[in-house]
Amino acid sequence: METDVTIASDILENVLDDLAKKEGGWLVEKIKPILAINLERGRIDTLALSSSTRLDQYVSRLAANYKELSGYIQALQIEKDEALWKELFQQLAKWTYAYLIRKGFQFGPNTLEIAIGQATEASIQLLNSHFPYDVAFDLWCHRLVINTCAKFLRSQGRRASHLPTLSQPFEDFAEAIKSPENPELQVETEAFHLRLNSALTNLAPARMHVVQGYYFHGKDFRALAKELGKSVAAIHSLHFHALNDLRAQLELERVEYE
Amino acid sequence: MNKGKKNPPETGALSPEGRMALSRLAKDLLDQPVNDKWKQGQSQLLDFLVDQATAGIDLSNAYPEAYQLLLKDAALREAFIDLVEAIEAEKAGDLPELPPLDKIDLEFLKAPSRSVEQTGPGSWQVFLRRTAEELRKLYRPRELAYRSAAGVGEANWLSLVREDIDLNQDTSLAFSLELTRTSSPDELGLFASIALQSAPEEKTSIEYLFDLHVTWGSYKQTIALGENYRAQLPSLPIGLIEEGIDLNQDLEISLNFKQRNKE
Repeated sequence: METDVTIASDILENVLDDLAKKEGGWLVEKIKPILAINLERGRIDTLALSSSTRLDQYVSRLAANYKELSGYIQALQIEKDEALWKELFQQLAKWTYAYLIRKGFQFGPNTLEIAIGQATEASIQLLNSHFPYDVAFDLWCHRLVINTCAKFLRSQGRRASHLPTLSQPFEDFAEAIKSPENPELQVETEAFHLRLNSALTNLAPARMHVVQGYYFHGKDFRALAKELGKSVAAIHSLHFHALNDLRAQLELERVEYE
Repeated sequence: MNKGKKNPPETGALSPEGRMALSRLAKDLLDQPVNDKWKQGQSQLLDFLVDQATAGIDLSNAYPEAYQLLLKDAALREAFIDLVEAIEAEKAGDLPELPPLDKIDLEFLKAPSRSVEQTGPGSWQVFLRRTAEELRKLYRPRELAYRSAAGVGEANWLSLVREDIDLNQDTSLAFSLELTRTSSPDELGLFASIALQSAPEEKTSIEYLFDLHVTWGSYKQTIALGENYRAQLPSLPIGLIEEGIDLNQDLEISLNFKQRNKE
């Protein structure tokens, strides 16, 4: 682990030297503390340090975002500019309201009141949190909104959504799934494959397309995105929905509140 | 559910490749328990993953470990779906219209600020802020009604910050930062201390390493708290406060700390 960190630090130093030559040392000095926090939080070494090219892209993007957004972030978090906050709060409330409606709340003033409360919670988080500058500001805010709302739903004894997870009937097949070639488990494997194959036929067409393309035809998600005319993110989402549906169909849903 | 209405295909009719595909799918269906502490740290990466996916990057190829985590952890996966679908709905103009807000209450901007964030497995960052106005009331109380403590001129110390912070259901801490008289008339002392309350089993096996960063106008210090979780920070020139220079600035405290097992 220490070796990985050392290698990562060396690559990072080289990337920063290059950036200093292109953009000036001042920018490097500004983004170093941000990078240090991102590194400590695993945003970099988990996701971006697999190659120097990828790290270079990561640092370049962070630097570009810093140049574009640091003034705005300072106005929000340090100067607490009310005009900017009014505009942002409106946006947070809109996302919060949409989230609650999506989770089955009714349109109207009661939900609006909850949405405003949760938008305020998200605003307080936003006011005091480290913005990592490696994603769009809107996306980061939206993630804060969703985390805040999900936490609220859990505190109310409600699940954010159906979260089908492993349950007892599925566990019976767990060994067969982990070791499908084990001859001693052939009967269990066969039985589970039968159930799974049957469940597949009940998937909605787009979800079925993703599952068949990915598992049966070895297509990657980019190819599937092209085929279906959707974004890769939407394909990932379809994939996760399909897995949830299959778990549910296999009667795997754990009816348990978190 | 149409269960029982269809005749399931015989797996005997499947090619070896088909069986392999079903095996891969079955493995992805198998939820694995994810370490809670690790999960909390990783959940902050959600925006990064969604950002990459919306930029057209296939997460299963580019970030296989993170993708496996999404496959295995139902709550994280659900948050991913929520975020992706909210963004897609907004792009398509499908978000429900927000009813008009009578007024936007931004009082939270004036409240004493504080945040507690788990930054990784067994590590946290606590951020506390006292506004210049709050500090002025403490240090130079003009109206007794607003005073929350005696001024440092009357007592030998003044509590600038005192916060109780819950980290989880088993552990909480009480942080305080106090301004004190020193032997020098030109300086004030700053003392930080933390009192930890932990579940009995944690008390014996876990200790914490604290780094404290204090910024108050031109006064910027970083110090590690010792084993007894107390530290004296470098003194503060009294002129910075008496002349009102730093009383015009917010006091910001960042406390970074990590758990470690006692050897």
